[in-house]
Amino acid sequence: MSELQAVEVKYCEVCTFPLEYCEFGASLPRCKDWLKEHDEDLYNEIYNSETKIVSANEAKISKDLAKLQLKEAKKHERELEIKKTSKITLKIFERTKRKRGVAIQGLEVFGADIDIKKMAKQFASKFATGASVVKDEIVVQGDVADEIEQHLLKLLKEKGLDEVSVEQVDEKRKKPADPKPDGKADK
Amino acid sequence: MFKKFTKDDVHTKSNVKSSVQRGLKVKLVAQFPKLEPVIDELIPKKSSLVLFKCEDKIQLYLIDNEVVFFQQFDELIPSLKVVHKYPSCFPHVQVDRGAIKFVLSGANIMCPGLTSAGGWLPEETIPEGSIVIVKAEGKETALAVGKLLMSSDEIKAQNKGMGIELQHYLGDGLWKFSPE
Repeated sequence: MSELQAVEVKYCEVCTFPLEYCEFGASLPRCKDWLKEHDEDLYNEIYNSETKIVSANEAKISKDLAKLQLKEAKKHERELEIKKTSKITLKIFERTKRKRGVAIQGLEVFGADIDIKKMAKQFASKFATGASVVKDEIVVQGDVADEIEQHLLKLLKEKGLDEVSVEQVDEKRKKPADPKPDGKADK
Repeated sequence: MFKKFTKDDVHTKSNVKSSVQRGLKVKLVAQFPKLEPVIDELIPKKSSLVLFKCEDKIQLYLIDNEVVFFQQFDELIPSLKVVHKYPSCFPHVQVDRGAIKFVLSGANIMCPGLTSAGGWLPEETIPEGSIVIVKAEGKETALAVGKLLMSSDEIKAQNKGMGIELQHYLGDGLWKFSPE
C-alpha cells in the first residue's frame, strides 16, 4: 500500500490562516508584508498570479473585504499607538527592614505580546526571587528593578516597540531615591 | 460551535486510558475509513492523549498540546490542522468563491454555494449527518469542517436552504485555541 504522506501546510504568522486564505483575513496588508519578507517566491506565486478567478459578484465582495481590512488596519494602528504612548512603571516598595520588592505596572496593554503569568515565572527563575501576578501587575520580591528595566527594554526592542518608556518609581524614600533617571523620555 | 471559545470554557483536563484510546482509534477509522493507513501516525501508540471536557459537552482530544479531534455528541470531528495534514482522508465538498467570506465568519453553508459553478459535490452520495471538510474554489486547503444536514443528492435536487452545518472553521475559537 502506498503510504499516505502528511501534507505540510504553511501558515501565515500574522493571521494564522493557511497562506492562501490571507486575502480573506482582516489583516491582508500586514500578511503580505510578512510573507514578502519571509518567502519572496511564495509571495509572488500567491499574489502576482491573481486575477484569474472573476465571478459576477466578485466586485462587491472585494469591496466589503477592503472595508473590513481598512477597519482592521486602523484598529491595529490605534492599538499600536496606545502601546507606544503607554508606559511601564516599576514601583519599588519597601518590605520589612531593608528588603524591597518591585511591582511592574502597565503591562496589560501588551496583552497580545506578553503573557503576564509566563513573564512572572520567567522573572522568578531569572532573578531567583518570588514573583507573582496580582491583578494586572507582576510583583517581584527582590530589589531587582534595574535588571528588570534592562530586560524589559530589550524585550520591547525585540518587538519593535522601543518608544515605550519604562520608568522606576520609589514608593518610600527612606534612602535617597534611585539616582538612575527614567529609561527614556516619555511620550 | 466554536464561534466563541477560550480556555475558560475548558472544565477538566484528564489523560485518556490507553484502552480507551484504542477504542477511539477504532471509532475514528470506522468513521473515516481512509484514515486507516495513517492512524498510527495521527495518534501514535505511545502518545498520551489528553481529554479536555468543555462547555456544552464539547470534548477535545489533544496530543502534544495540539487538538487532534473533538466531539460534541457521537461523531468525532477532526480539527483543521489534521485536515490540512491529511486532506485526502476525509470526504470533501467545495464552495464557490463568494461563500468563502461568510464561511470564515461562521455561517452555515447554503446549498447554492455548493451547486454553483465554483462549488463541487462528489459524484457518489454522501449520507446526511456525515462529517465533511469544506474546500473553496481556487484554494487547495480546507477552510472548514461541517456536518451535512441533508445527503449530497438532496442538496443537488433541492438546491435551497442550509446544506451544511458548520462545526469548525478557520479563525474560530478552536482554531485560535492553545491550551497554554
